[in-house]
Amino acid sequence: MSARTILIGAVLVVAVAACGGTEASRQVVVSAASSLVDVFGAIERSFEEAHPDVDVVLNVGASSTLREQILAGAPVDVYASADLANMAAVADAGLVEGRSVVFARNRLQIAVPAGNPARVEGLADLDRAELLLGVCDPAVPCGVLAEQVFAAAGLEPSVDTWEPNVRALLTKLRDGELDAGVVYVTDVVAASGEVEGIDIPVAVTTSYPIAVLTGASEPDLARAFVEWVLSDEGRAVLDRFGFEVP
Amino acid sequence: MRSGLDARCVVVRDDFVLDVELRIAAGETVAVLGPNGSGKTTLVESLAGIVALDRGRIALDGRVLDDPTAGVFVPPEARRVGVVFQDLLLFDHLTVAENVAFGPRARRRRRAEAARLADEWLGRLGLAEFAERRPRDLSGGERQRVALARALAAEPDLLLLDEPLAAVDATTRGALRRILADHLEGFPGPRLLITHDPTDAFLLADRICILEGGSVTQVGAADEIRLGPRSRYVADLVGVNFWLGEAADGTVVVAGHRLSMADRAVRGPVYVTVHPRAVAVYPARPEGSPRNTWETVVTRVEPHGERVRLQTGPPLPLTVEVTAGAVAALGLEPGSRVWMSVKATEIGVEGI
Amino acid sequence: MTRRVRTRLPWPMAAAAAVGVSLLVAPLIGLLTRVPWAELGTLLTSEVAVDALRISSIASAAAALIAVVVGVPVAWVLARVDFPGRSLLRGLVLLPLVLPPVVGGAALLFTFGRRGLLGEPLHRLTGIVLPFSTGGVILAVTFVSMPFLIVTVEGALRSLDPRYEGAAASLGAGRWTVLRRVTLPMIGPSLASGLILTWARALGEFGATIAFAGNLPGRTQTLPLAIFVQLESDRDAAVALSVVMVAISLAVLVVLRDRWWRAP
Repeated sequence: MSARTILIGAVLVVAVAACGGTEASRQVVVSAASSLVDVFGAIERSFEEAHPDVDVVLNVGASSTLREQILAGAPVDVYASADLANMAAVADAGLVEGRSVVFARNRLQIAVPAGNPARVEGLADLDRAELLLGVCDPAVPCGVLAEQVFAAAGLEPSVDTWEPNVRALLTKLRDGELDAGVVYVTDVVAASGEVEGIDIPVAVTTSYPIAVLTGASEPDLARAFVEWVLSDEGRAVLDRFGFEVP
Repeated sequence: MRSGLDARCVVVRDDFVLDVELRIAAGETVAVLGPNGSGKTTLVESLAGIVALDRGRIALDGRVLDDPTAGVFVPPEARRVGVVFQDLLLFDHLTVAENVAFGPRARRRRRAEAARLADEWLGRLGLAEFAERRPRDLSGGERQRVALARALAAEPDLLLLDEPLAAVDATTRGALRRILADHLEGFPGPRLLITHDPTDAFLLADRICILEGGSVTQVGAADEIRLGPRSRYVADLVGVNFWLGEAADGTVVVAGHRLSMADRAVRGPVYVTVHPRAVAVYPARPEGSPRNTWETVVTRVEPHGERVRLQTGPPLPLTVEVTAGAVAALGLEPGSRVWMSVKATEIGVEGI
Repeated sequence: MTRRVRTRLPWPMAAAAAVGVSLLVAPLIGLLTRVPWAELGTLLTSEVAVDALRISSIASAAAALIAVVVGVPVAWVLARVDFPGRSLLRGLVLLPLVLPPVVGGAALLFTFGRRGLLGEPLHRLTGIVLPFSTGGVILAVTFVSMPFLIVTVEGALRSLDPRYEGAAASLGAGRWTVLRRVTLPMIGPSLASGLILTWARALGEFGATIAFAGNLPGRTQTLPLAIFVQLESDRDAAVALSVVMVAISLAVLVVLRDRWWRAP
């Protein structure tokens, strides 16, 4: 095989790969907060079952990261954020079609690796200096919420790491690299068996808004997805994963 | 009490075997003279400790440096063998003074004392003005002297000079040779000079060892070697005509040609030499023919100032040295037909 | 006076080169247009910025130091000692040069994490925990940057004429003296450029740091990590810190000039 043949072949492979999938004829791109990865995965599956010619593409990440992507012009059809502030920023830029709707609520829990090796019992224990404690970075909703919780409880815990998104934090808890972390209740549900949850007696919740974006390539499809999330079936799935449904 | 160098170096390499016996007394300079590939570098390396002997023994002033059978091997840094390398190998990242002080400092002298010693040696070799310069700023001859100062400042027991004048241009060579001679003279221990230049050997050494193909083919004082070469290499070196011949009853056969010689006693295989100046050239058959005459053709004419070297052809090719005047008078040029004549007494013969 | 014939640049070559240059230079210009020049001073003296600069400086300097102390001997062994499997060892030692840094971070976690291969006994016997500590940052950045020093020094040692060491030995220098006064000074320039490269690489490391050492301002948040999280919360601060990193990188390249890809 001459060098020339290899070169032409490589270019073709890259071109085909770049073209992307070919199966479904219609696509809806959904940017969803990290904490929604499992529940929206289930919603994606049920939506695709009901609409066989549709492919739901899930783009999961920290709400602030997703916000920046949308503001920079990413081709996203639906945005589901983990707090109102990020959605407001997108709305202020005129990128939200109509108004966003709150479809779920979440609260925080202390998560510890299975077996609770550090014997954490409650919020007050997070003060212990030798405890390896992780929270989300204050730039993301989970981190904002954690700060509110600590402020409400009058605590200044010795945090050892601010993870860029809640799932990164959860992974380190599952692996036992951290002794405790402040994550969403739904994350503990998602990782059941690998982490244990300890309730936080502070009434601080976050609201998850969802909206169709003005740049949607198929607005009807996008609206159909949002309606599915808000429907009884959608609500049942959310509830199953531990979210509070309004 | 210095007993000097007593060495038998046997090193087996893929393509040849070095087998040299060398005894140098304190205060004696021996030159090892040989063509490239004769094993000179291997000899230097085995004495310096870079290469281990396969057989033999090296002893310096009674200390055994290398003895394979006894399992003794002294590493280079403990041998006290001072080497002036062919490529000098001066440390360019150090000044000239630091280079010379390197040996004393390595031998644990304090910095100030080492510096003082370095200054002394630099003075002795006329290098004081270069003390703070870098070696690469100096000329070839100056660098050579720095290398010598560096080796001497380390106060070695044996001084080993590897082709000391090879990298020096012709104009400086003479002056440098004289400097070298002085400092060799001043060095109390044994001195070994490795060279391919016979002039160095003849002028600097007390004894000369001819090294060819890993073995010593001849040992002797300068005059002995010059007048009685025992190999084509040496003969070519000293510019003498040389053959291996067969002698019997006052005649010797060389290259199929019979010559009369003065020595009636010798017989059997012999080294035969004829000095280029001992050959007479005639335009025609000479009167009162001396015994050894023949007709031949001039093949080459090489002027060397006042003297001219001629190469002649069959039946016995020779190198002949005549005056420029003679060449002009006889109109000699390549192709000229001439008659050669050599007296029997001028034919050097030595039994092998 | 002779006129030199200039090499003429064929226009397709020039066009392609222009595209290449734009690709590499345009993002820099894009960054510079976003710099809040007026607030630069305030942004760079904020607590987050100062902390990040401090952690990054400490970690990269420590990495360079460790690289010299530990890396030079490795380079020596690879260059001078012949043993079976040497090529394999060289490949393993240089692996972090091509390994994705986040993979390196994960590997470090599995080895030095609290439940890791070496981290678990370390924690049990000494109570030391490397992840989420400044020590962890140093370990992570050293892991990705030390191979730069090793590869540079090994190359320099190989091209060094070994006869100089023989000359030093003949003057009475023992092996340590030869190393100290002849070998290391002679590879000095290469050692210096290797060190600068190592330091620069350590400074810019992100993936291994965030995976292994975590992200905490004042303890483990390095400059690249700070920039990453600030990009979504305080964009101006992120750009300000980015400019600092660009300035440092440019300075490194100027200092090295063309020395680091030429043979020593």
